[in-house]
Amino acid sequence: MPQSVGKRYEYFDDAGLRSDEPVDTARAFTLADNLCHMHDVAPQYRVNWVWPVSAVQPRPFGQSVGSLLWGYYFAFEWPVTMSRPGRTGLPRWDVRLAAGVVGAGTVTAWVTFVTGKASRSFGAATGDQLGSILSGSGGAGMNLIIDGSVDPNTSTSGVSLSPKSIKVTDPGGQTFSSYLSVQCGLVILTFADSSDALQIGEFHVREYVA
Amino acid sequence: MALRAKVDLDPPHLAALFSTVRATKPVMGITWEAAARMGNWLIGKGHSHVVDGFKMISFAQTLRYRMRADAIHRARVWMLTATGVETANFQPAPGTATVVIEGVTHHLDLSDVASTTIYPVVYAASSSEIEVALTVTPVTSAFAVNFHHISLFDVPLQDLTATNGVIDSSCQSGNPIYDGSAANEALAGVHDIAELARSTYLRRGCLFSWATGSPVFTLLTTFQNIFQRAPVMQARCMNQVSNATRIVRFAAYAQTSAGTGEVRAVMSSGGTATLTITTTAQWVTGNLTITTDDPNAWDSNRGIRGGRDTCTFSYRHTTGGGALINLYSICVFELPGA
Repeated sequence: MPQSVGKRYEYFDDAGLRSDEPVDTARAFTLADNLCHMHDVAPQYRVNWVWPVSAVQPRPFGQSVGSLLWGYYFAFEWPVTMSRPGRTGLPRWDVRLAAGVVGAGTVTAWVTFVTGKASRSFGAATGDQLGSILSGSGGAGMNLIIDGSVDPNTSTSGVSLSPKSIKVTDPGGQTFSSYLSVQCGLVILTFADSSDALQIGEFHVREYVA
Repeated sequence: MALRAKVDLDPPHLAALFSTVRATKPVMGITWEAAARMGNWLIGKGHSHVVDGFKMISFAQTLRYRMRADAIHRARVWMLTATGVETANFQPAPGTATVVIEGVTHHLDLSDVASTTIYPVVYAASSSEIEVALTVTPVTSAFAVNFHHISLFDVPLQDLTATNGVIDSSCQSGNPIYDGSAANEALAGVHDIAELARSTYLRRGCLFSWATGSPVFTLLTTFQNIFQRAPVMQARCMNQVSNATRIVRFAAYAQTSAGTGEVRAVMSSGGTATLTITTTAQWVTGNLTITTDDPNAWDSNRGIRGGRDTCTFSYRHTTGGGALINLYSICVFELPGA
């Protein structure tokens, strides 16, 4: 299968698909190519958060943490309807995380995706003293930035999407499709002392397929 | 009985779609049936409409979001992941809360471990921009709902009508190739449904959403950043590769105490939009130009076109003098189009 197939959408004249003449192969191929491209770009935005400058943030964000070793995992999940028979690759996730430490200390953070039975982590990053982030400096102090992608196919831990069925029934009695889900967790960290805290400024996840 | 357009749980086998379409070779009916079902799957898949997160609610608040519906009767689900916390020390604690969606009161599952609750809601078919809202009320005293994630997305449809899907049986082996465009049948129907998916149903719904029931505000007459960071936004490239930008909708729910205010979005790629806010609490919308995916950079740059296109949101009161602007929501989403 050519690697370029399905990479883009192309306009074309459908005249050759309307008659009782033999199908124009070029048009037929373009149609198939377009459908496959649309299949591949079908994934959605799942997370795109930033924190308001002036809003109170839930613990631990903006709060002191009285522990030298402390972890946090925020779980959420979203459906994945992608299955790609005949194609390589599952959806990948383009991820960006920006964070900082209030006070002195070191924080290490990474992003972990849990897909049923296995997990895939990436992008460990370490930041040091960042100064007064809570004064509302517009994110200038956010020097802990992870920017990259998670690809289940390259995982050595054998990530696989395991079915998690969710059935929804509308008042008319129609049962809709079930689908898979993916969970994402974030951030394990250590602090230098108990007066330090972590603040998250941004977390962005966009599915894509390559 | 009217013909229906079937939607598979999973998309048809793509390799079959390709391998049988070759010059000088006959194209089998099974190929076009698969193509028809692929088109239906694409139409039926739906969008994400809300992706929001991390807000702590300690008193009754309504979270308002704006989205563009589509002309198919859709079931959507609200997926809420939350924990309960004590307001005195922010420690996790079990408690109870209610969520009102479309006039129906639901119990919110809040344990001391993050739990996800799903609320199905059937929304009427509409081609308009609509508001979707949650009213969250903590019931336990000295207790707050700590939302990790709030999302709303379409449930994939099981079948479509003959007006918005292609009749896959018309493409089965033995059927003639004819002009079935008007009836959404045969190969021309497949082509039409592909165009419909490209122009409407496969646009990303939500690009950014944020809402609070307790507004952020400013009295200042110079633009103030609303968020600590400038969020990333990127539209789908559903067109020629040269289609590097797209116009999307920028919406804010806000009001002033007196006079007028402004909410502004400035993209790093140059697009900008400014909304004028009045003393009436309402949605105000405008158009914003942002960059699209780069189909030539899926492997090399995660589909990002050059550098990331980030958006700086800011707001101000136009005249000041003690008057303020209250901001409740910001949403950015894609629109149907060429």
